Amino acid sequence: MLVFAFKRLVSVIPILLGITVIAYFLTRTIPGDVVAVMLGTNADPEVAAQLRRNLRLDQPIIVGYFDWLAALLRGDLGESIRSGLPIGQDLMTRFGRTAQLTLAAIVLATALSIPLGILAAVRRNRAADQVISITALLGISVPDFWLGTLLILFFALKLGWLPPAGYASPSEDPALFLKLLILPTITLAFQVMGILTRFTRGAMLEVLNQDFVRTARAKGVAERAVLYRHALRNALIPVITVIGLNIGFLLSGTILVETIFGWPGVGSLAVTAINQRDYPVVQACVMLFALTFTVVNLVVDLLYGVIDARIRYS
Amino acid sequence: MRHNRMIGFALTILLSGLSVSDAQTRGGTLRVGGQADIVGLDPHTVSAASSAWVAEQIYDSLLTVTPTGEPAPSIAQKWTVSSDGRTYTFNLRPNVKFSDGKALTSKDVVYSLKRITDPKTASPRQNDLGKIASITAPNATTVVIKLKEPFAPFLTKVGGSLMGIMPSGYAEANDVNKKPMGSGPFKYAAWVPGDSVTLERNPHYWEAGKPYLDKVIFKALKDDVTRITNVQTGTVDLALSVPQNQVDTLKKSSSIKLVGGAGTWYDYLGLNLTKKPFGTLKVRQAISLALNRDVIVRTALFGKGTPINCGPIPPSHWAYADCKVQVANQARAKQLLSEAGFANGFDMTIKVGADYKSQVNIAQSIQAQLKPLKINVKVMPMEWGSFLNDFNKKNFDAVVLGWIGSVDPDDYLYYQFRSGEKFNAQGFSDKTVDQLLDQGRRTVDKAKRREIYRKAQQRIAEQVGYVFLHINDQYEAFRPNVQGYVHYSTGSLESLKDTFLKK
Repeated sequence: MLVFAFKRLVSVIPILLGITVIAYFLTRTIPGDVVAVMLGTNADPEVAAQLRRNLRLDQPIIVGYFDWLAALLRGDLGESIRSGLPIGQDLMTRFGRTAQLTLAAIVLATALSIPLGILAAVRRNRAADQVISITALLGISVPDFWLGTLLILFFALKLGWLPPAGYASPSEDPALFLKLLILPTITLAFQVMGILTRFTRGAMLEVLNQDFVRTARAKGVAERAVLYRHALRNALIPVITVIGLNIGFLLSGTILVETIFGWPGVGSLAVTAINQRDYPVVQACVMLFALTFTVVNLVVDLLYGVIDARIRYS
Repeated sequence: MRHNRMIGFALTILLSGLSVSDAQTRGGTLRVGGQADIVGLDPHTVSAASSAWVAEQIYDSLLTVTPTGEPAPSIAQKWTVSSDGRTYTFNLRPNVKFSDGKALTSKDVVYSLKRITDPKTASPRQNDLGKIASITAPNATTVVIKLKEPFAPFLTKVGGSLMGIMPSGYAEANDVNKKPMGSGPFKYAAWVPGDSVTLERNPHYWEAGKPYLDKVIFKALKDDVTRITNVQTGTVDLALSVPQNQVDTLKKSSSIKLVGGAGTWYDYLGLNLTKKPFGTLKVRQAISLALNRDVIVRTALFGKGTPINCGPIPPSHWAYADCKVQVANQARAKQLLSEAGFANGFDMTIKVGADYKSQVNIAQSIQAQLKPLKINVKVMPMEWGSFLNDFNKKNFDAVVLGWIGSVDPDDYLYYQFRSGEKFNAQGFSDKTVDQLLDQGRRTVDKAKRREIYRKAQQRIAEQVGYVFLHINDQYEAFRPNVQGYVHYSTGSLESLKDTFLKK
């Protein structure tokens, strides 16, 4: 198990190195540059040229890459061109906030969708199944920005129960933090819940038809135990993969939700940076997303072994 | 010592109480919801509106500009202009201090203005002060600026909110973007990137008793709906850039106050004169006559705008020109087009920034209105960075764009319509216009200038330098307890120093 984990970790290194190449060169080939965006439609060519020199954007792109890579290996992500602030610290703070939102959403979605998925599978094609399946379909189809806006209009504006947008640190004002967390969490969780419910239902149905379940029932094992000890344990494997994928998806998918709810996380940082062509920030965000995906996949791989006896890495 | 201070404090309260009839409340925090986060706070290099709003609270300029566009005293309490219009002498207020308590002297003014004009600073306002021969400080409270040639917009330019004065040598020793230092009503306290900037009262501010607020927090609320909901629920006290489609609904609301009106930001259709067939005057005139600007304002701007037919200067401005040159006339448009040899029309593409939704709508309205002329328009909304890339490379047939006119008529016209000037992306060139614009810069007499700019605008409209469309309205929404706030057509938030919160 440890050897496997180590091997997987080592295999991540060339992948991340490859991503640095993509992150750097792709970012630099987006049409338009930071100077043009900074100066807008009234770009004085003289000023633009000087600004380019000041920002060291006049050096060859390949030199820039190796400078950046060397700094990256020392753990230095550089400074934002627009704000002049060091990126590392800001990125970590924002990643923390996005993680709070993502975790809350994934916990809520998992807590609701696994029981609902099981219920739908057990009551297949009956009223409960149909209600759950339609809700799940709605969750998948309803766009974030629409649901988010609707929740704000109803709960913040009409009822006045919750603040419409903003962020408070949980260590400074935990009550306000929780209040602010509710609406964006629901918005994010609804979609994931739809996907997970359908997956759980499908996986359960498949497992319930298999021989070992029939055997268990034939042996006279109680129905509860058949469902939870035998069927669910096997059905969970694809579900865990999907949860893992969704964590990655959520981390990047919070972009819209963060914009609507004014949640200053890494998603809104990435969008702003791309719009402003703030190259070092875009590169840092891409690296962070890549690293997160890789780590989540690794954890999912390792979890298989814990859950399913057939998959044991040695 | 302590005793003296107490007396001083009591006196200040008494005086500030006496000076106004409606007693202002001191203290409190004003939360302002803007469209974007700041991008830095160096007044000399930033150009984003979000940064400008914050920077103008931290810095004072030599002069200020009133809501109607006249230069007025600020750090300089008096100024004189030599008869040849080339030497400006400013007398500084003696008691101005930076927010760290150090006195502001003429040395700081010389340093700051030289920093703006230094090419190394790469300030977008590098050339805004005209051709400067020298900036000197004969004594601690006098600054003398000599110009190589007369430059009529000089005073309003020097009074611009981003001509801020910082301590001499400050930018070399500090990162101004992160640690700004000025003599304005508020001082920098904290910045949470992506979220908010917090300012605190500058205890050394020179205007007695001001500002009234203890703190101002600028929050970045990108989404239009979110920004408006925040002011409705009281999460922010003042929301900037109210979207045009929300204005009428909000006017009816009792929990919200709305101020605004015609701003200084106008939209235009820019045709690339170096490309066929837009180099042909009759084609440009046909397009400009084919458009019904009332319809565009009604459909794309929800009625929140003023059509313009003769240059971009708004009706409220002293240099407004009212010639009715670019007015819809479908029959004449068709005739001109066939005279130019395009009776069967042609294809063209209008590029527009996708984020600027009203401009996308305007382009679509233009598309519909050019159809009867058999001009087949393709509207191409683009991501802003890519749009700018094409725009700067002059890779476009036509664009729909906005321009913040600012204050002086020169701001509205010179760089866009003078031959070969830096923002003349459409490639407009006309000798008469060039002469008039040069003359306008050299003429200090206001009545004569007005006449010059009237002629210039009429000529530009006739030659279709731009297809002028309309001036946009601008509104701010605030909670009823916010008092003393004044709307500036330029979008300036200078009145925050006079703003207070009624309890």
